[in-house]
Amino acid sequence: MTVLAFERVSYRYPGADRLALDDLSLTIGEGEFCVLAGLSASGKSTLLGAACGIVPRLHGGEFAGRVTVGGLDTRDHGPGAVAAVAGVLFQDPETQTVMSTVRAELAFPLENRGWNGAAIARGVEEAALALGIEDLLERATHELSGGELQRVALGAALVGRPRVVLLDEPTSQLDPVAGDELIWLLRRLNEEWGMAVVLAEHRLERCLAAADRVIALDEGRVVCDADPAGFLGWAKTYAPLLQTPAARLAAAVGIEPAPVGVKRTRAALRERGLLPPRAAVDGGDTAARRPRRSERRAASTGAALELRGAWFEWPDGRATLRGVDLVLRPGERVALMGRNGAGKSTLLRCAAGLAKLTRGRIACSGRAALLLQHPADYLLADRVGDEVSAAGLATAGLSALADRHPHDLSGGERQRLALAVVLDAPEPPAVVLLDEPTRGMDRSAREELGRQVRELAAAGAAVLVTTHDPELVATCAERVLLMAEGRLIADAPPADVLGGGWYFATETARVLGGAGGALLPEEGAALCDVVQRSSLAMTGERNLNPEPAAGAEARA
Amino acid sequence: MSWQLASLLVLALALGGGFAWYERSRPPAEMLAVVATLAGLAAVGRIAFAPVPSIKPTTDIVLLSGFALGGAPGFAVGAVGALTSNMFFGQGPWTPWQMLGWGLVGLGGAALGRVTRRRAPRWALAIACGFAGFAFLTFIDASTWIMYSGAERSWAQFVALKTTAAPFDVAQVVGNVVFALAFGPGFVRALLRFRTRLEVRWSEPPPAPVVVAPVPSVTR
Repeated sequence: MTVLAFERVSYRYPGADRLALDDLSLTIGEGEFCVLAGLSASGKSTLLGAACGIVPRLHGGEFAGRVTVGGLDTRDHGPGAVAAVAGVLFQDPETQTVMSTVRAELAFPLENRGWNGAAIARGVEEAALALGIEDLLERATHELSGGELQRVALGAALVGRPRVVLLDEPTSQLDPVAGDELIWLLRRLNEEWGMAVVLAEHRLERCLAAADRVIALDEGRVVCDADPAGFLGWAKTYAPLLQTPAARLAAAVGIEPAPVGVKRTRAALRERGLLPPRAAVDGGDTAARRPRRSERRAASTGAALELRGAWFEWPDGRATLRGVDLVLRPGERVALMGRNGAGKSTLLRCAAGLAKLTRGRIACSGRAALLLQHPADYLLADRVGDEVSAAGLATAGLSALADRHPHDLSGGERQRLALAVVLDAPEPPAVVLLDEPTRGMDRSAREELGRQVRELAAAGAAVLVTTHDPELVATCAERVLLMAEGRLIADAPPADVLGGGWYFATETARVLGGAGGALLPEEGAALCDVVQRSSLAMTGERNLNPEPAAGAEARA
Repeated sequence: MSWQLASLLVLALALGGGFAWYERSRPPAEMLAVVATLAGLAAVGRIAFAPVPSIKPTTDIVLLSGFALGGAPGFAVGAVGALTSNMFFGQGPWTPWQMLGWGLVGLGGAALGRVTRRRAPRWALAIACGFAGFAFLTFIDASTWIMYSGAERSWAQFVALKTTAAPFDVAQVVGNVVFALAFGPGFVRALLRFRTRLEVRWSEPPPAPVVVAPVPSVTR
């Protein structure tokens, strides 16, 4: 029984010269859990839009072929009718919420369908419990954090018990904990109620283990349609950028085919005797200690950004920053991590002067360039080329898109353009503050961002990036701050923070249990290599103790 | 039949016809929403400039809406804008006249859009808005003349009315031209972008499926 069928669908956005969907045919059965993979602008969001009927009805353009969702042909049924069988969560949840409180937001789809009051109350309660947002029900939607809003929007999509739920990067704004929880929640809904799930995601490592099927798109065509293991095998040859870190680790040490997920990768490594011994759980020294007086004085001279005992309190008494001490030096690349609502964005806003500390001191040595979570807010012109100077456009790699409308760009392209906008000034910034910059970015764009961060730092700016993406941190940061309840609870190099964590850890570190502080697949492979050589040496009855050397060699 | 009754009958027919046309075009929900928003904007434009006699952006908003979106939506923006703004200024026998007057301005904008294929320079939009402002006021003056001039109705009365109104007419026309010069093209651009997003060309897929696989694919 198919729940979603594409029959030879081609679609062109108005004024675009290439097809966004190119003669695409696809069927998704009842109760399947599908992941859509593909680089930025490969057609994932367009496919999801076409599946719920807003492409082409709210975008215009030329549409050929036929899409059937739960028996409804989108040619004959508008998005309103389709909404009864398909729940949708788009990339920007803030554009998807319509009501002022969470309860009203969850009730809205049911009210539109004419349910009676008692049924609505029950439906809202169940959806809120399923998503763990029952505490938020009376809150106003505009004061929720990005991650909370994403869960509320998902609740509104699920409340009418759709037969298929379409999600566009649902975990992009969630912390690793909430992201994992969301994926497993979808899996549970999928298993218990047979709800089909179609999920577009760039961070495949999060959702591959839960998926039944992976569909890879390239230039609006299906280039791979297989189970997760088959997909990883395909990606190794044809789309290396789509490989998960664990798959790259497996490929680097020669495991064929690549196992899916952390657990199986670890098992495969253990089987071959490649798994290094787990790092001892001694807690390590990652504390964010208050610097001594002499250090403070030394730090104050020449710091790019300095916060001293910074508090930020809301009028109702809630505090989002509680005595933060932080010094950023010019040229430093710092990642700020922490769960949703820990105070990361508030710290950035205060640092840029958008919000005033209620207590404490803050000093910034020059211009602070701040890019907040909603890139569309930075785009004001009708042409991409009018947003920034030609040089800025070239740096962002968007010169080819100069004549497009900024709001027609893909999520990742829009993010890059907004970054170009805040950096585009004659005076180079002393501090660059980026809030969740990897939203909607594929791996090549994330690597490009990492390169840009290193360049900015090399040019003398202190770069502070908040992110939920440990892989990004591992590639571009030299110092990681972990924040909880408005306090900095860790301040150390990435290997120490991300190597030993459960949630705040890269996939490689999770596979290897934090051994040797290996964060990236290449480091992990080097570590496994050392283990293999040393175990060969051991069997040759040479007395060698690999453990202390392992980490050092891997880092080198 | 008195002039008043006859004119109101014509008004009712014209307004009824205009709204019937808009309804029969079965605008999608998105178009209803944008028409309602623009009518609200036209009304707010009138209310915001209430302290300044005659200088109002309403005619510009209605004309440019018609220019970008077409006849039936343009008519609806003008007519609904007049009706809603009079909730603030007060309803009366002038309401249907204003509704029809601005509805016709919307139609005029649509005609201009059709003739110029919705590509008009800033100055041309400004001239059109100035002219529409004058035409609208003349229409309203004519309504005053028809409704209130009593039994001995004469052209001399109308000329006197128009002469007395001249300073207001000039202020209105200058205001309309300035407003159109200021925001005309930007307003049209925003609405045209909206319009392209509502225009879908549905077609059947090409008959012969051409199987070209540039990237070898795995299919289950």
